[in-house]
Parts: sequence; structure tokens; C-alpha cells
Amino acid sequence: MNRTLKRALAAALVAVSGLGLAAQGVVTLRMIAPWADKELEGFKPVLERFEQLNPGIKVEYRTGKPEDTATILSAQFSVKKTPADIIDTSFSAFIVQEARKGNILDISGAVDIKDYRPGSIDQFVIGRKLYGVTSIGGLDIAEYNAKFYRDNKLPEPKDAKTWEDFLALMDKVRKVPGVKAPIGTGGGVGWTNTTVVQTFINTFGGKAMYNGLLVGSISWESPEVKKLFRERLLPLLQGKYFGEPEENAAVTQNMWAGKYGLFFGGTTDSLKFPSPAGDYSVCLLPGQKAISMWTDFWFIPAYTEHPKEALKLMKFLATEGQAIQVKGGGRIATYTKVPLSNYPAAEQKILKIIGSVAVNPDIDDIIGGKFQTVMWDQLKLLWADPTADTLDSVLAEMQAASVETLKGSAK
Amino acid sequence: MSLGAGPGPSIGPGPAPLPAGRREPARAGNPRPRRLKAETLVFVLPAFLLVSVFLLYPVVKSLLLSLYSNEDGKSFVGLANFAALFRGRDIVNLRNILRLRPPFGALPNNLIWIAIHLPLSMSLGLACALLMIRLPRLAFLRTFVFVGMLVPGVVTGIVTLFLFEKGAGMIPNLFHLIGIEGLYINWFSHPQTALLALILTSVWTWTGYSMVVFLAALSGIPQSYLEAGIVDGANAWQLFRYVKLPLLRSSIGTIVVMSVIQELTGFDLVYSSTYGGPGGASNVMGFQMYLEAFKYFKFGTGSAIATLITLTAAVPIVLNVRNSARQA
Repeated sequence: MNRTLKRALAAALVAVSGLGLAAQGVVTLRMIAPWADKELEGFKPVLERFEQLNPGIKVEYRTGKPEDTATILSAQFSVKKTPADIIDTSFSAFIVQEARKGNILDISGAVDIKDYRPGSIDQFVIGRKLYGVTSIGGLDIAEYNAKFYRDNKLPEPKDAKTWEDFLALMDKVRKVPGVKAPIGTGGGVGWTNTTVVQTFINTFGGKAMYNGLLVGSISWESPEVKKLFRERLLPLLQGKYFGEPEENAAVTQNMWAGKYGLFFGGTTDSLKFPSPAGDYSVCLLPGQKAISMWTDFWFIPAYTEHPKEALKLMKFLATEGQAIQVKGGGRIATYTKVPLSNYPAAEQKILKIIGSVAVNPDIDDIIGGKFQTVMWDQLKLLWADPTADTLDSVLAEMQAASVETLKGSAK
Repeated sequence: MSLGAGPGPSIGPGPAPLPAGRREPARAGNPRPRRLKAETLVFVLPAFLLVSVFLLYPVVKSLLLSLYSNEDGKSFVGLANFAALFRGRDIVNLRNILRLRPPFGALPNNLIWIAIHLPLSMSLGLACALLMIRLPRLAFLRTFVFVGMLVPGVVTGIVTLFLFEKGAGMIPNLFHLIGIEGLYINWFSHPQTALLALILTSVWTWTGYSMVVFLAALSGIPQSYLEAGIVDGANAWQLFRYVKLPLLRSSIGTIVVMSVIQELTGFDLVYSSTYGGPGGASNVMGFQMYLEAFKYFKFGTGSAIATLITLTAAVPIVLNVRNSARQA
């Protein structure tokens, strides 16, 4: 009897405290973002800090890859529902497309556009209204293990003054025992090949070509683009400077193990696949005039039940949240008020290297949609079959997809 | 022994059985046929409703969607979505087909899949069934062959990625061991081998199904037929060719229909391993349908592909039904 009474009292206590919480108005916000494992570890302090500052708001985190999220959201939006109150995606084109359909909340005035890296937020301004903000991002950059070059008495890639010097160094790397190929190739869905292509366009094509391809004013089949691919990329592929595609984790681990001399990856690799020796280094190619930066973006679906709280969280994530998140390494803030001292040493080094060059937005992320899928897939084909004939067909497919996607986005 | 009217012996004074092939004439005032009809309706209705809501409606809706614009889903465009499918290179890449250089397009890839997968999985399944029926004490071996059917396609796809990977994969290393260096590659990275790798994986998963169907059919062959063959002096091959194989015809029909449907609608394996690449070399109709509808949000085009898949899959089904009717 006594035990039953105790149980009843305990149950009543739980119920009363539950009612108490409800009375205090605790709101649970559902969040979807792509981070898991180490990347999520780096993001958790941001959420903890927000909850500390806002005791009335709890955040429920769920991992969702951008491609899966886009598929789920389209179905949910069609019945005016949303699986989350705040969502992070790397597909900026998706936000713009859904904003035009009225599925995204207008967040005008939430942040000051001038506080962000140029070009990182403008795309979300539609008819003077703002529909999304940038999150942290990463840079497409050539990475290498500095220890490998020291051990083999070779100069580091950052010391190559000309393209010819760089190729000569890669030829020497090829001869080092145990090396599979001078440059590693990432597998998976194929985005790592776009990193190579974007870096080459930034190096040999220049800003006009890069921006032209981004907005569709220059064709992927134009003579100057074809020339760049034929004269710069194709000889490297034909000369087997690039290795067989491997999963991203495997290719970076193999680079640390001395099986590749270089890998065109992203700055997040330093976080996801850290070098055992801590000798992570990056370089610009000789003559590289700009660098591509991809970012994630936050948006609030129009069907959230807690727009006020979601907006509060979004403001935090886009400002103070970025300052906290970069401390975990591997990420670069788009919010320009984040001090350099917030970054770990490796990222401070990267920021100094890129300080001298322009930063361009990521082509396949910005155009998005069909173009992104086609670009990833077609470049995999070019890597597997690097002939002039295949190159023409690959560029034709990419151009057709670019026209179709940009036409759809403009509607 | 039956308890009512029928050809067997009956208890009590029942009506005399009718000669074979003759039906009892309907009698005026007999309420039985009408009651039977009502009962039949009651039993059929739930299934009919389920089939209508979850099968017929989606099929009709999908067919209608394929005739409407991708832009708003409201403007009638007739067969324009179908025509657009064949104008691009995703479904049929005529230029590459003529040069015999992959990617060939999703539809030819499906046909290649059927041409390799169907005979391979069926003959392997039959061979396994013939072997297993002789080894009743080693029945657990059947589980090993059938286990491929139990693994989800997405998991199979991920496992396959490693199986055909140059560094750690068993298949490329096997070819390396026997000196065929041309196949000591990452199979999924090359347009010439990506589709073949998927087909071989699919054979592994589907052989178990053929084996089970053939095992059931072989077990049903009366021993007396085989004994009669032996008395007539037939050897093992002749027993198989002239006694067993003709009796397996209906099982073969079932396997062909089920396999072709699986081969045409396959999606999960491609999605989780190659994503249709490189350059569409391992793309199939089911995956292209997913891309169009759920990635590019072109529901009209996606529905047009779904309709094409249904029509293509209907061919073996109709042939099999006709064949069964003829046999009956």
C-alpha cells in the first residue's frame, strides 16, 4: 500500500512538473541539418549555448542529407506541412525555388546582409524580401601532407612557382615508392571532381569565365571553356596524374599514408579526416586567382508552428553561432564579424593563404537541381574515359542541364 | 470423402453426381445462386477497395500525370512528356549505342540487365535446386543461397561497393590474381564495368528465388514418372531434358515474369551504389524515374517513365497468362 502511494505521488509530481513546464511555455524547435559524427560534435556547443541563453526553447536535432531533405520537403510542402522548424541545406537553389512557391518564411530584417561575405546571401533576396541566411562553409582547395614532401626531400606544392614546376613536382611524386598516383580522386557521388574543375576554372579561366558559367552567360561548350578542359585538365587525366576513384575517407587516409601527393578536397577534411601527424597543408595552384567557397544555408519553412522562436534561433546561428562553430575547426565563417582568433591554427593558416585571392560561390551548389546531379555524374565519366570525344559529350550534357536548371530557377 | 454433393462418396441421401463437364441447371425459385453472389461480393469488396485505392487509383493517376505539364501539373500536353524522354540521351543514347560505347541510356541498360540477369539467375537457381534436392541432409545450404533475397537492396548496394572496389574488393583482386589486369580496376568507376557489377550483384541476390521455386516444382514431380523413364533406359540428362524440364515449364514462366518485373523496376541497388553513374552508364528506368520525379520535381516526366515501365513489364505478364491459359 505504502509503495503504491509512493508511486502515485511520484506520478503526480511528474505530471505537475510537466504542466509547470508547459505553463512556462517551453517550445521545442525541430531542426534538420546535414552534420553527423565529428561535424555534429563541432555544432553541439552552438545549440547548447542557444538553449542556455533561451531557457524557454529546446532544440531537437535530426541529421538529414540535403538531397534527402529536398525530397522530403517537396512532399511535405505540397500538403502545407514541414518536418522541421529550421533547416540547413547546401542547396541554395532549392530555397529560392521554394520561396517563390510561398513555402519559405520571409525573414527580412533578421540579419544585415552587409555583415556577410560578398555573394553569400544575395541570392535569397527576392523582391526585396529575404528568405534564407548563410551558415558556415568550406573552401575547395588542394590539400597535402607536408611530412610526405619533407620525408621524400621534395619541395612542397605551395612552392611551385609555375604550372610547369607543379607538373614536374607531381612527376617526382609519382616516382616515390608506394605512391599510387600523384593526385587522389574522390569517389562517392562525385562532388570531389567538381572541386578540381572549379579550381582549374579559378586558375586558368578567371573571374569572368567563372561568373559566366555560374549565371549561364557563358556556355560550357564555348571555345574558351573547351580549350581550358582540353589543354589543362585532359592531359592530366590522360597522363594518369589522377588515381582511381576511392571513397573520400579512403583517399584522404591514403594521402596521409603517402599513397597520394595531393588531393583536391575541402577544408572540412581537416576536421573529418585529420592527419595523424598533424601535417595538414593546403596550397593554391600556381597563378590561381580565386577560390570557390561552398556554404550551407538556413531557412525556416512557412509552415512552422513557432515562427518567432525559429527566427530567434536563425539569428543566433547566423551570427554568434558561426563564431562558436568555427572553433571546432574545418569550417570558415561567412559572418565577417567572426574574429580570426576564434579559428584553430590550421584554419588561421588557410585564411591567411586565401586572404590574397577572391572568393567565388560554388557553381554546382548555386545552380543546383538537375545541373548538380549531371555535373557530378558526367565528370565521373570524364575521369573514367578521358578522351576528347567524351569531353565534348560531357560538356554538352552539362550545358544542356545548366540551361534547363537556370531556366527553371528563373521562373 | 466429402460431406455434400460431389464426385466422391457422400454421407446421407444427396443428389446423384452429374457427369463430368455438365453443370447443374439453374432452377427457378432457388435462392442459393443469389445468396452466393451476395456472399461473393462481401468477400471480394474489401480486397477490391484496397486494390482500387492503393493500386488502381495510383496507376490511373500516374497515367494521367504523364499527360500533363511538368510546370504546373494542370496543362494537358498529350504525349509530349513521352516524346521529350526520347529526345534526350538519358533514356536511349542512340549515338553511343551505334558506337557500342556506354552509356547507352536507361532503357537499353534495363534490356541488357534482363538479357544477362535472367538466364544467369535462372540457370544458377536451377543448378542449385537440382543439387540441393539430392542433398536433403544439407538443407541449411539452401539458406546460404537464399540469404541474398533477405538482404535489403540498399544494404546490398553498399556491400557491393566494397566487393568491386580495387583496393579491398574481392572481385578485382580475384582477376588480379589470375592475371587479368584489365579487370583489376574499381568496377563502379568505369562505364564499361559499372552496369555489369550491378547485374552480377543482382544475380547473387536473385538466384535464391529461382532456386526456391525450382525446388518446390522438382519436389512435386511424381517419383513414378522418373522411375518410368529409368525403366525405359533414360540416362540422367535424358531424364532432366524429357521428364523434369517439361514439368518445370510453369515454374519457369513464374520466374521469368517475377524476374523481369524486378529487373525493370529495380532502383535501390543503383541508388545506394552507383547513383546511375558514371555518366549514366549504370542508370536504369526505375532510377531515372526517381531522378525526374523526386530530384528534378518533373512529375509529368517521372510518370511517363513509370508508364513505360508498366507497359514493358506487362509484356511478359500477358505472355505468361496466355501461355498458362493455353496449358489449362
